[in-house]
Amino acid sequence: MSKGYLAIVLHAHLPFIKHPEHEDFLEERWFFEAVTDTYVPLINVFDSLLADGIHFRLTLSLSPTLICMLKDEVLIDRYLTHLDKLIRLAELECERLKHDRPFRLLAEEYLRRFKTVKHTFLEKYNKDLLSAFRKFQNFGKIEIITSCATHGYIPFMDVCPASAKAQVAVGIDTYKSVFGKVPKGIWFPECAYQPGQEKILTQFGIKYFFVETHGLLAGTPAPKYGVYSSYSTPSGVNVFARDELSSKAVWSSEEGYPGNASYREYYRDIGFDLDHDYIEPFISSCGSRIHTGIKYYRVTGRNSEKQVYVREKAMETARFHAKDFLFAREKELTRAAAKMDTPPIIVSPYDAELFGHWWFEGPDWLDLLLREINDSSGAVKTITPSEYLGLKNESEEITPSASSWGYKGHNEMWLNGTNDWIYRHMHKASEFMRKAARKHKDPTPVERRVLNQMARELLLAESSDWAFIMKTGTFSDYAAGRVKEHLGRFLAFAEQLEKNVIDLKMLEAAEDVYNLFENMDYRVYAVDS
Amino acid sequence: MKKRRKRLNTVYSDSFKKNGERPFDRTYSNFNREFSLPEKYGRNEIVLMVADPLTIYAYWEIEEEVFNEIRKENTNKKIKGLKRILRVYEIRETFTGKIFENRIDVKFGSFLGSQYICLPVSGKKWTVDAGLVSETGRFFPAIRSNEVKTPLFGIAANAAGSISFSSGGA
Repeated sequence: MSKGYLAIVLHAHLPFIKHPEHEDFLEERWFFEAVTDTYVPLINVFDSLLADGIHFRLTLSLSPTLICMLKDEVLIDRYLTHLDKLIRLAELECERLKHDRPFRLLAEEYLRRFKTVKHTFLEKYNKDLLSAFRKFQNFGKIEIITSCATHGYIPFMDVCPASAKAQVAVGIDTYKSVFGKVPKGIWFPECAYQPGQEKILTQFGIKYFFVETHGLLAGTPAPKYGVYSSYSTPSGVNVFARDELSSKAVWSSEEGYPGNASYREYYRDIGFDLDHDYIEPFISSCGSRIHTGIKYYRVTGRNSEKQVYVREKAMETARFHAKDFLFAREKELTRAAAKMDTPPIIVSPYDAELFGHWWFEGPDWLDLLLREINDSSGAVKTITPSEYLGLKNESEEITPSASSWGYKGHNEMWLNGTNDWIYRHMHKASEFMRKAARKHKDPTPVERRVLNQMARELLLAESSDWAFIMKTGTFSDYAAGRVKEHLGRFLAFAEQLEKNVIDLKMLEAAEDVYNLFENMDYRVYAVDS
Repeated sequence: MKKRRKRLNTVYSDSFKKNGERPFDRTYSNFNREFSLPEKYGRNEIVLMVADPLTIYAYWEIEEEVFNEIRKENTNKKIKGLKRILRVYEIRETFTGKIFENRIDVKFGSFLGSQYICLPVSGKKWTVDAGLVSETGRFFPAIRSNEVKTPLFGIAANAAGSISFSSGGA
């Protein structure tokens, strides 16, 4: 008999990065690596579960920028070039290592893996991975939800509510253009929440969102069932909270599964290890060593001396970890169920890119876990949040507390000495955008294009990723440059609009590169102050 | 937009054939990614943001004119040593309205700046006045910020009564 439910939520997101003006651009690889390591492997897992008739439910949030990148012709063409290079590198590795059995087996595994990715991407789904996700949703296996347009950090938009509304509205519009309906739920970027922000959702028909554990536990009034139930907010939208224990099992670098010594080590990559002349065609075009995606060692110790990765051993560990995860959730649900009059739910959200990219065996673990749940006694069942809401007659009302899933659980990751300078410009641009949208009620076709591009530039500047990257310190110049670029271009267009002198070449070039949100309608900003 | 890109690509493909240049060199030669942002916007304002339960961040732009006005209005009142401060108020909501209780004063110099302000308590509403304070402590407010609410620090008090197994483990 079922003790309760498990809602696994994967949040897939990347900032919109596209540099067609360069033949090769380092940061574009983030997308290529995520497709190879995460999105295609997850699709292969879901297809395999579907083929084997495994019962499973999973929630996947696809950020609107990621959706736009998965549809972008330039990025898709470049991805295929990248993948062909990876296959070529794996072939060279098979040849180089032909007399070194443990390494040769791994090189052959990479070659097989990359060819499978190419087959899935090109032949099975005809370069359209969104069609794969749509298929799984149509089969009722995964519930796809949305996020904010460019992953804007909503709590920082309380002084410019037009921006918050646009982030949500454009996100939903992008979702509808791909999946043909309104999403049932939303993932607020960085799980960041400020009381009242969910009011935006009511006008769009969104049923639920998520908060961090303490966002709910510090809510008012105190949640009777802790994180093991959903609650209604004063605006009527439902809220779920992240379960701390199941999060830690996967997220924590110290205590989590990915740190096990059997698993593949992310940081030892042949891009850094092999002779420069040999690896040069496969690393950065400027000659900098970077990750290629081929890694032969496992997580053994903190120094560079690592032991060779053994695939069978890693899979054995993944199997053990899948059983362990299920065992722990069953115990957790049993204890919660004893104190509840409705079945408890455990909500386990993770960044999708953790699976496969950072934690190489992550997709295998997920596959094994879902099979284990399917084959087990039925004490734990997977569920989506909307299905869970359907089981409940009513929910207690609660106002969650301000929170995020960032460092220390609040806003400081996105507001500190490295990145605070961006907000005065962002808030001002939002104010200009709102005024321009209200002023231009009947624009000429060119003015409309300028206003729509201004909206895209503002949205792009608002990505939470830039502030995050500035704080982490790696690629911070790039992140700062992107904020300046988008806000600078926004202001240039605002001035052109004001003076009625439009630089058409500049407009065309901006539209060509930043062609995301094809149905962009600047009037979304025309709200009262 | 797709149509336009196809058209542009066609043009650049032709250029590629004629000049022997790589298409991307031509296509995006006019595309500028280098922009600088204005130092100021010419608006007098002060904006608060919440960093964590005990820290708020304030940024401001206040022209000297604003303070000169105050000085001018008080020229004949023999008020000495006026200094610029941010006066931080805790806001309490009562049945009769809002009560603003001064909790912290922070000196500031530049007309354009920012400051992290450490708060004595969490879980409260805050606002800030930028203004001038005299030697005798008389305050002349010039501009008021938006209001923000900081979350509670910790959850123990509030979550009493909730079921939670976070500390016990499964």
